[in-house]
Amino acid sequence: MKCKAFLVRSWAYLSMALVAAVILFLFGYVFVQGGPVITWEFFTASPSGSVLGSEGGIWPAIAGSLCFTATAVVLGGIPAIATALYLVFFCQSKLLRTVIQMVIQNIAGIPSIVLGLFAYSLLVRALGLGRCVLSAGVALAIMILPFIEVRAEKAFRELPPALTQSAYALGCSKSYTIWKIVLPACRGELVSGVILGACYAMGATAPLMFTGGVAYAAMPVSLTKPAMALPLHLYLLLAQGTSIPQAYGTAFVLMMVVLLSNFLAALYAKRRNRAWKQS
Amino acid sequence: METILTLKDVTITYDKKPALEQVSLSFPKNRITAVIGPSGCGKTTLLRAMNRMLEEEPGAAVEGQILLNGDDVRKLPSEELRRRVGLVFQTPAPFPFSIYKNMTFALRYYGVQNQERLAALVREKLTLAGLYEEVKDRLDKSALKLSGGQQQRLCIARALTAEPEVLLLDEPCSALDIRSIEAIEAMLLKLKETYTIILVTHNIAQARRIADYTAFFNNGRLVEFGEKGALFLQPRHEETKAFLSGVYG
Repeated sequence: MKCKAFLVRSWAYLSMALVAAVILFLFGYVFVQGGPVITWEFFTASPSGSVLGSEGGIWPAIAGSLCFTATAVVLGGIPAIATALYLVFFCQSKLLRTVIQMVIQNIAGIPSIVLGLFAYSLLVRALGLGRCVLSAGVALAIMILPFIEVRAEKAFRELPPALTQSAYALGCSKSYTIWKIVLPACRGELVSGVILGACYAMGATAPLMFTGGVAYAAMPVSLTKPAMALPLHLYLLLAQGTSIPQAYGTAFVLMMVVLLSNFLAALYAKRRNRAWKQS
Repeated sequence: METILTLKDVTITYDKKPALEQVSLSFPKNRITAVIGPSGCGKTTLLRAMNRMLEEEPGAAVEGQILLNGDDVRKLPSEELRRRVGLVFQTPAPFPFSIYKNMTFALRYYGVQNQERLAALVREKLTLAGLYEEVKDRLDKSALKLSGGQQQRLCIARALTAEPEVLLLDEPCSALDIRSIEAIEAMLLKLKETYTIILVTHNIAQARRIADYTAFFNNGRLVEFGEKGALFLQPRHEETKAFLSGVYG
């Protein structure tokens, strides 16, 4: 018995050590490989060089990624939160709720390249929007919608029912209760869900390959123009063998942006929760 | 005796299983009516049916008629009904805002915008609930920082801001200490001059102390309804006698 417990424990510790080691190695390796190119100029300059991207910086890709992500968050986050509100506070029919939840789970299961293809054939070609931030934003929005919806729905369900019931018992309408109590009370979870969704969108390459991301563009200025994006830039640098150090540098920046956003989201949710419990 | 709420053959079922059967009862105006009975006898269900909060629970169905001043409550818009028939829950549920914002929550919904008027109403209702003196210096502080008894009085004061005609209280003292209970009982005796109070309680002594009328429920049926002296001193039914002498309680 003692021997068995020892084995289970060692297995657990070893697994944990292995996972930690892999993550540390990954970060360390990318940092060491990309380190030399990471200068102030790398953040602020545009790609340059005889083969474009072999020198210079990635500023348009950083800005482009932020634009794609912001578009996706607006187009995906708002319907996601609204769907969650409907399911928790308005939907009376069990059947309808099951169907909607099934649809959302299925969206979550669609491979992102298929979403890219869908946005390409519908928005870029059939509707004639062309390759632009908007077309890619729609593909990314569909991708992150289930991600945000599930988190929002969980937050709404975990709200103490006594709060909403008290508001109804005062004769207040559901919409007033939602605006004044539900949304403020769940703000921490909603913001962290949206930021995590944004990280997910920022790291995705497939949905914007055909729909709005390009190898080179100036700073993004309009929703109807294409733009650069960090993951796509990384892919092209590697696929075309332009510059390995530049690729690692880009990877490092992408990882740091995503990691930082995750960290901020966790911090914000925690602080909101504490404020909620103490206030 | 003037009545305000009348139940006619009310049967309530949860997923087809009856929780209350064939209840007919009239609640007198400006009196405290206590609803007593063992746990699970349908007291809370009855309260929730009277302001249609039961509709928020899937699977609950109400048959028969519930009349508020002669109007079928199902024909009134639910928001108007809930404004006229306020409900305070067993566990105090203040909103996670300041005391002042808790008090103005419903008032703002009803369109009271004038700051002076809001302040006057907050003061009036808190005074009615016997809480104003205790909290007047910290109206801007979180309501969650109040003690349990204060929170419950705040919830009652908050229910009063909707200017209800009837106040339904679902075991408001079950989680409170003796001093808070005394404060709430004193408040209820004062409130009955203006409001009709229907109080669900498992505390027979409390019903005896403050109720003008008492209804005894058992197994989903109304067993006995009477003036407090009559019900407590000469219960007509064996079940009531058994409950009052502590067989069920």
